Amino acid sequence: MKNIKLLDVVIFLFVLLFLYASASKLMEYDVFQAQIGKSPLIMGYSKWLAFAVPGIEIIIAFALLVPRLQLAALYASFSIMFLFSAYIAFILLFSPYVPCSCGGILSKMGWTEHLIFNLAFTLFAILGIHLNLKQPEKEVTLAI
Amino acid sequence: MRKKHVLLLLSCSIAMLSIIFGLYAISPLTKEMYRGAFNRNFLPDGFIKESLILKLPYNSYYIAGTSKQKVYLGNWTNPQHLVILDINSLDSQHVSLKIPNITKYKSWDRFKVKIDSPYFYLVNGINPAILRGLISNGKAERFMNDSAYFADAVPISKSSFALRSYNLSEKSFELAKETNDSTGFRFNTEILQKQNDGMFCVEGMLHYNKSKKEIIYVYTYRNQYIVCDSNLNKKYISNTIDTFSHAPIKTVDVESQNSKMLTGLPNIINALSSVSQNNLFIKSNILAKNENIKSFVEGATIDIYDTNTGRYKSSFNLYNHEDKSLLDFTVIKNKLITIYGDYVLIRTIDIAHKQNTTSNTHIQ
Repeated sequence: MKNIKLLDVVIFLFVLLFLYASASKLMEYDVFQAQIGKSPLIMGYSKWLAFAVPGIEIIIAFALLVPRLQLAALYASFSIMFLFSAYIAFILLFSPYVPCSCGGILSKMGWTEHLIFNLAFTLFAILGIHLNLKQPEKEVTLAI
Repeated sequence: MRKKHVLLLLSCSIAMLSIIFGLYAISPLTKEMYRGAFNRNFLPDGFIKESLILKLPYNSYYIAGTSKQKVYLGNWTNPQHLVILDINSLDSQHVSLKIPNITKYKSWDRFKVKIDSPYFYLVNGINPAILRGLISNGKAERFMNDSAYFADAVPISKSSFALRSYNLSEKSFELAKETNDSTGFRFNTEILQKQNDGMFCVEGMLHYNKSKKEIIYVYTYRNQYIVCDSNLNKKYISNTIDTFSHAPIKTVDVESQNSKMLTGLPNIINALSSVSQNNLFIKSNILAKNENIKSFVEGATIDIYDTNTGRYKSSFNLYNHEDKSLLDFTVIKNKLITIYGDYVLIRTIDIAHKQNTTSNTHIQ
């Protein structure tokens, strides 16, 4: 049986998260756009963010599966999860009201739970980067 | 992990934080609060004489109505829960309302209590159903022809109601009267004026003033209120003191959910209102030119209008209680009843106040 490495689990979780989140946002594109339109921070960019966010999530999901791109994709995963976490923390701390712009099952979570969820994945990304760097270098055989 | 990678992670973090702070800097959050181009005529201190405070078991109460000496509180999370408070002593009594076979009604959790002593009514515009019972025994039952759907219903008499219902040919909400006789349900489409979407733009609060037999409607998103007689004939339309004559709202149609959603910044003009004798009290969300921002933001500013003349009289500000904002209020005789979170505050007010100063005063 093939050894399932911890790195594979982390990659799998991220691919699952990004594909699920982007699919649910794209399937209800108009709802997602209307909800972003209520956020005091990003309301001016709702039309293209409604495309760009799921689009970037899909690109990262595929890049995570390509060995040459995996490390870069892990950095991108870290950045996007950190960005989402910072956004939620900001809204919770500084916004006079709380808009909703969530995807699918994730919308069942309250804002605080969502923040914890995102922070957890931000840490998974750091773990993924560490595990990716720890991989043994591919053996190069010399034909002498 | 090597140093270069730690630095890379840090740079990513800083870059993402800069994006958030950059968005904040250009967002409406950093703009100064809007000030209307009008002044308020603030009442002097001494308008509010004393307050009584009562802590309720829940923070989900609303004011269902008043009678001579009592205020009635319904509960959003349990439609069969009614609390009766004496406005002088704050003695409280809990009444269990009983709706037979409650679960056979659509959206049965949405029944709302309306009081017209000695009766209580439970109204549900989705089923639809209007139930009535005596407050003394709490048993509710259907009693009239109540087949019209409505967004809000207010009792005018034992057998007639003022309703706000959706009119298909006008494609907007309109006011209507429903009576338990041959006239049945009748729209008066001359009262509400549609401005854009027909739903949010005509949103408002419906009141019946029993002492003057007047139906009063206060628009939520524009600076107007309408006074009608008990047959829904328009008496007059008057403006509130702010200048938003056109609802500053943006709506979006969500095809996938067959619904319409309000989008953009929150834009309520008139948030809460109450009618008592010849006074209309409106909690306004628009800051006046001569108003102190701190008391506006940390309290509720209430404007008083004279319903005999349609004219604005004066204003006062109520500080929030325990950092909770004003959820609901009503005025009966010289008592101002307010709900903040799970607290009820009953303040005695000098209703025959003398108007004088125009400087800002706030009341604790």
